[in-house]
Amino acid sequence: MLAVVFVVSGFIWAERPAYAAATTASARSSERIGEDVVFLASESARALAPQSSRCAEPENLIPKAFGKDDPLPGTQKVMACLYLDQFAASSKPLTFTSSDPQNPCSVKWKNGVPLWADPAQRKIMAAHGTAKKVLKSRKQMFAEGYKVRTAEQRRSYLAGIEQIRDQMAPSCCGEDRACLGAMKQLRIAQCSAEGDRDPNKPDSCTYANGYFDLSAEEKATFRDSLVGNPLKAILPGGIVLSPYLDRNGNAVALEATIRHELGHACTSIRRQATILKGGLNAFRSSESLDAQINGACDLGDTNKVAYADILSASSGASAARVFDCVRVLSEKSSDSKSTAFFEESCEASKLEEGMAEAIALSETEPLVPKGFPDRICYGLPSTRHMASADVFACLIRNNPKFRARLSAELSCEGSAR
Amino acid sequence: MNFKIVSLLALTLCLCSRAFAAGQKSDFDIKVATRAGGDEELASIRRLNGTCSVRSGLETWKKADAKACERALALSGAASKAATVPMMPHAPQMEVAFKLGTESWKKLAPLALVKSCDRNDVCTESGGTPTKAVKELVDFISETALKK
Repeated sequence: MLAVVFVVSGFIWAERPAYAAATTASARSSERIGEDVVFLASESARALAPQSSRCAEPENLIPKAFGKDDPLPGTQKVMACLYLDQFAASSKPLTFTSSDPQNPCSVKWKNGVPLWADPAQRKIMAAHGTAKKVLKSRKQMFAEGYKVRTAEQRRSYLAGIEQIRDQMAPSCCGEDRACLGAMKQLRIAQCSAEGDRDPNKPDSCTYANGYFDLSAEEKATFRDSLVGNPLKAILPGGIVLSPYLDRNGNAVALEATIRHELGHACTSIRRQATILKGGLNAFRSSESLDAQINGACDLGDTNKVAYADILSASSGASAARVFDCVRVLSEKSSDSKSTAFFEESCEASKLEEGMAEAIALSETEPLVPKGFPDRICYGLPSTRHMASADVFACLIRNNPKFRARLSAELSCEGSAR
Repeated sequence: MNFKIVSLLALTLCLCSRAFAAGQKSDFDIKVATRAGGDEELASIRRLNGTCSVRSGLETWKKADAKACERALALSGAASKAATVPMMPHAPQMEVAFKLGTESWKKLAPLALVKSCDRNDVCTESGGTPTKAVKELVDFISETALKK
């Protein structure tokens, strides 16, 4: 059973809020630390599998051969290549209905159908990605085998993530110098909280494994920009990462999560870069960011334009088509006849999440096995997230380079397609 | 015969007065949820058809004292004026959503003050604590849901 036990934090205010106590009381003793807010079921499975849970585990969530054998045995590989060929041969845009080409992920799914095709499973998945759980103390974490990086490990770890950031910058920014500069300034930091001072207090660093955020000062500046004090420079923000290592010495923040968060940073920075340039697109980007920070769910025309600009600079027409596909996908999430349907979807959030995931996937190397099949095929949808497999479909349909890379890595015949 | 007419009148009066009483106190709904990639309800209070109820998480609604709804409504007045923080897709934040007839508002509040340090030991703070009004409202709803 998956041990995704979401219970609210107990550290929120100095005096413990009542709701924290309530949910803590209902928690089991087996919660793990902050689940990745980008919930990649297959990658989390290793840590989660041996533990008990109050949540029902989707039955075919964890591939049997996960992490041990070849992630894609011979027959499955042949079929995946065949489906990839169908994507290459198709000239129609994806409609996210049964008339689309078969997703290569279907070789991994039970009966070729994703788990989220079942409404009952969608109900379980609806709130995943929510960083809501009991906050453990540093002492509890240590008792469970977790460790905190030493100062030297921290420096080396953060330097490694900075390299990933720098590698992703050109594909995010193209040749936009302001954007490239801001990506370089994007802070890569490790959470440092109560646990450092008092190992007995709930540690806010257990809240999430990694997320993109603006500093308090940046948030204030951004708010000002919406009430007549225009932005003078891009606010880069930062990625806040967990200081914890699991009992095997692995970072609890998965690389997939970090890349996804870098994708969010990219969409924020790109829109701000557009704002600084002025003109109509600046207005649209500003509107789009404003809507996002207000948590709006309406997709709106401004979003459509603002996001189109994000991918267009780097990879030309194919990127624009990827965006268009992700946009259609976010709209289809509210269409009960679509394979992308998810109850109570927040379309604007889905667009943002889909873009972050598209950026993350297109920058994942090697795609096999880092992305495909496990991460991509088992990246679950929620009210605010698209299924990674759907974003993947957008990429293999609309980005020939991405498709060719996957084909080559799978050793498909005619891999240049 | 007269008895039947009187009974019918009494029943009509009774139903009318109950409907009037319910109408006097408008239905509303206040939800507290985390907002970090997915919505997960923490606690809620509502008045539906004149009955006040609360729930913790997604548990079954439980009847609450009418005064609890009055208090929640009073606290929501101040909370409605509080500033909302910018929504970051996965940052630790919570959302208070209020709905009364056609009136509705949502407030995003940080869940925690998080300090983070880069490899050069330069530290930054993000998140923070909710405003007093939002905190009072959230605490009240949570405590009421807990008591039940």
